[in-house]
Formats: sequence, C-alpha cells, structure tokens
Amino acid sequence: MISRVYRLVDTKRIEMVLREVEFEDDVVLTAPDYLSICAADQRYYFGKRSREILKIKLPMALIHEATATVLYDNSGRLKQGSKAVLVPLIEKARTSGIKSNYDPANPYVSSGIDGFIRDYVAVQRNRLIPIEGEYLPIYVFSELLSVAINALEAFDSTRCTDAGTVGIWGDGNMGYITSLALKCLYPDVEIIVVGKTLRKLQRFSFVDRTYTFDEVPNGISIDHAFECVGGSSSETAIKQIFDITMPQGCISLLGVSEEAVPINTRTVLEKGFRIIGNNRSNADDMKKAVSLIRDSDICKKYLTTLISEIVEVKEEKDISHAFEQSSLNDFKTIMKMEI
Amino acid sequence: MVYAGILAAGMGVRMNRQDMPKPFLQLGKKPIIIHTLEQFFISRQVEKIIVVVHEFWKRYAEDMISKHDTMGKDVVVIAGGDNKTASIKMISEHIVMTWGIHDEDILLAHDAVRPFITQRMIDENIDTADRVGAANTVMTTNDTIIVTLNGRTLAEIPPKSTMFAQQTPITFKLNLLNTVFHNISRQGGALETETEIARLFVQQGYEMQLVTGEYSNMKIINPYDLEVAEALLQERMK
Repeated sequence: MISRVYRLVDTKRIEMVLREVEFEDDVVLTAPDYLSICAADQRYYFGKRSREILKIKLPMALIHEATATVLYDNSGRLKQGSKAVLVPLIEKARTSGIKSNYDPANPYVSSGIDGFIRDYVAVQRNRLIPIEGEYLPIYVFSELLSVAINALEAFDSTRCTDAGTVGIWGDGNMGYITSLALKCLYPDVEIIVVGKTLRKLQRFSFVDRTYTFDEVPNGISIDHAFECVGGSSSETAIKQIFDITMPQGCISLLGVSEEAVPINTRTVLEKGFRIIGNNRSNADDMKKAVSLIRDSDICKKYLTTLISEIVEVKEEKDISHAFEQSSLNDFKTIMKMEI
Repeated sequence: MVYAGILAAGMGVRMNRQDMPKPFLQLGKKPIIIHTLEQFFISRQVEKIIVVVHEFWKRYAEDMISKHDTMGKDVVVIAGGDNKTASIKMISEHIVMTWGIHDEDILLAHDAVRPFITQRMIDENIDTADRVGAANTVMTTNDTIIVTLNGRTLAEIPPKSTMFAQQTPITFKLNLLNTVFHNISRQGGALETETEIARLFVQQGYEMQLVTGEYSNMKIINPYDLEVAEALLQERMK
C-alpha cells in the first residue's frame, strides 16, 4: 500500500513523501480522522528545539494525538469503518519494574519516528482502542488525558498526606486536562488553578478557584501541586509551588522545558516534598482515558470546550495553516483529515 | 453500485519492455498494478473491481492478483480492447451482463499505471459523477501547451488558464455511458480510432465536471517514469 506521509523537513516547512506501508497479520490499516496539535509538535514546527535535536529528528511527520477509521483488519476483528484512538507508544520492550512509557527502548511517534500526519497508518492491533457513539472528535484528546491520568496515578501512589486541596499551575492544554481529570477522578478535591492569562483561566469553569500567578492571595496553602507550565516560566511556577505547598506535599512535574530549570533543593529537603516526573503514557493509560471520556458526561462536556479550532486538511498547505492557527489559539487546534 | 475499472490492457511498448506489460512491472516491493488496486480495495465506496488486461496476460493477471490480499473486494479480470475507449466499453458490457444496470450505478475508470491515486480523488470522482453524470481528473500544466498543425511550426499558444492535463480516474454514471456507446454505434462511429472517451461524451452534449488530481498521480509509461516513481518511494539521504 502506498501512503502519503507529511513530514516536517525544516522550520515551518512540510513536504509530502510517498512510502510503502507493510501490513502483516497483526497489523490494521487505518486512515487518521482527527489529529490534535500539541506543544511538542509546535516546538518542532516553529524551530524551538535546539539545532542539534532538529538535525537528528527531522525530517519527521508530527502529531501523536489521533483518532482514525479502520480501513482493513485481515483478522476481521475490527470492522471496516469502525473508529479508534491510535496509541503513539510502540512497546518493543518490557523491562521489569519500568512502566513502558518510561522505557527508552520504546519509541513514541513524532519523537524520532514519523507521527500520524499521513493518509494511512498501519498499526499493530494492540495500538488501537475502539471508540463509538457521540462526541467522536474529542477522543482525539485521549493521549493528552492519558498523560494526566498517568500523572494522577503516580501522584496517588506517592502522596503520603490527604488530597484536600490541589493546585495546578498552567492555564494551557495540559493544565486544563489535568484539572479536568482531577475533577472527574477525585470529585471531592478542591482544585485551584494558577495561570498567566485571565482570559484562559476563565475557560476553567469547572474548578473551585483560579488565580493569575501574581494575584495568589497571601497565606493560601495547598496540599499537593501539579506543574503544567513548562518552558522558561517553570522556574517561577515551581518557586511559587514550593512556597505554598504544605510540608510532605507531592509535586508532579508535567511541563516540558528545553533548558534546565533551577529549583531550591533546600526547600524540598526542609518541607519533605515528593517530586514526581511525568511524561507520555502507554496503551493501558490510554484505555483508561477512553473509558473516562466514554463514561463521564462531565469529561465529555468539558473536553468539547478545550477545542479552539478545527481546521479541515484537504491539501498540504492546510497542515501549515493549522500549525499557524495553533500558535494563535488559546487551546487546542485540531486537524480534520480530508486529504 | 460503484464499480472501478482498472485499465491495464497496454502492452508497455513505450517502456521498451515488450516481454511484460508495464502494470506488471515491479515498483518498490509489489507490481505497479497491485499498488493501484490496493487503493480501490480500501475504498469505502467502491464495491466491485474489473481489471481489463491484454488477452494474452489474463491468466497471469489472475494469478498475480490472487497472490495478494484483496481485502474482501470482488475482483474480476477480463480481456480488453484495442484502446482505452474500447476497454471501458468492454468493462461496461461486462457489468451489464453480469450484474445488470441500475440508475445509481457508477463506473470509475483508472489507469493501472497510476499507483499514486488517493482516496480523495476516488471519493470526489464518485460524488461528482453522482451529482452531474461524469467527472474527469485533471491538473494544471506546468509546461506551456502549444498547438501545431503540422508538427513543425507553432500555430497557436492557448491561454494557460484554459489548459489542463488529463489524469484518471474518469468517472461516469453507467447508464449515461451506455447511452453514449449506443449512440456511437447507432451513428456508425468507430471506437477503434477514438482513444478519448471524454471527447465522445462531451461531443454528445453531456456535462463532465473536473476533479483536481495531483502531480504525484503520475502515469508510469516509460523507464524514466519508473525511475522517478521508485525514487519517490525511497528514503532521502540526510
């Protein structure tokens, strides 16, 4: 099968290449329907990764958040036309004691290998999670939600104090979806979101309180924190988290930064913080995310308001347009593939 | 019912490989025609596929196709005519004899040697033919087209905006196509000399709407084309 792969070859330059797709017995042929642009894709597209990294990783097709239509499954288990979420993690190795999304032997698409901007994607059957019913486009957020679920599970198994009040730093997509996952899975927890832009914070209508980072009231305290800021602002966010998190609190880091971020280790020691790093997710996390979307009306409804814009992709230049729009939109930009 | 007619009756004279028709030549890991067929196998709209080949190569084509996964689609191989128009007529006759004809029936005819066809082209052809009766896949030309009446001197340069290169698929409502063939035979016309079915169609006053193709939807007709197609499938050196 000949497939069209839309690769980023240089900053803001996408080119189509033709590739033969092999599909063996355990492989299902799919066509991506909805693709969601994430911050990591934007960093590649706009050339915000280091020159050395770009030299190693490009050319590469972007996007690791996708839903697709099944075109052909020779086992007959998945019907032609049925819908599924694509799992970006390729589990090549299982190392005892290491969760598969942290195993360096397991590649993640759009990070060194081609992502999902293609007309056909052939994937192993275990990398497809069937979906059905209404609200199908929002299942494109399954991967992002699964990263939050992965972080929440790590948090739950690490924390040693009650989760009465949880603070989330970051008013972007990761902050939004982590807040939403917390709201759905821990309905009794009080959620405080701290961000930079009031307009974006207003979108977090389901949380208890929101503050811009310069207006956090004196004397406020939280039990645990999730840092979803990333970039150069991480340092300020982490400093603020350290100041107002109660002793023995659990601090989850989810924001990606290109540069090393200095932290005050003295405070970590003095307050006995537990710091957890979180990155990516595996197929099990994604199944939990799909179940949460399917079973929770709250999750479904608030995921729809995470969509800033849906861009129809009918030709190559529409992909660039979608990326340009993503830099202007407050929240998620989705590509609807009609190419 | 939507039928795809795959035109593979040429003998590959321009390929300088007369021992093997060009659709059967290898491109990457599979014969060209298999790459082409796979795009129709996965089409959600195409239900039956008729492959038309030179009569000498019918068994070979059947053997070759049977060795590949047709993804549950019905594929029939028939012997074709002397040119594209005659082959399309034979496909049409085969459909009518085997499955009958219905108002909603649509036939897409596609060159076997255009393996880089996309689902968008297939879908737009079907939707357009369903709406207006016929569709023709075209692309703007990069080269300026000139007209010569004697092959030696330039007679005219038509405005570039009016010039398009014809690709395939070319798609018809089957009953309209049959009417066109019927009219030609009633008027004593000869299909043997008319290679362009689209010309016959519009000459009889039927509308044919244009569908945008792609430059990559190239026709592999000579050794240079095959090299280009092979190169397109290769990883570029970093």
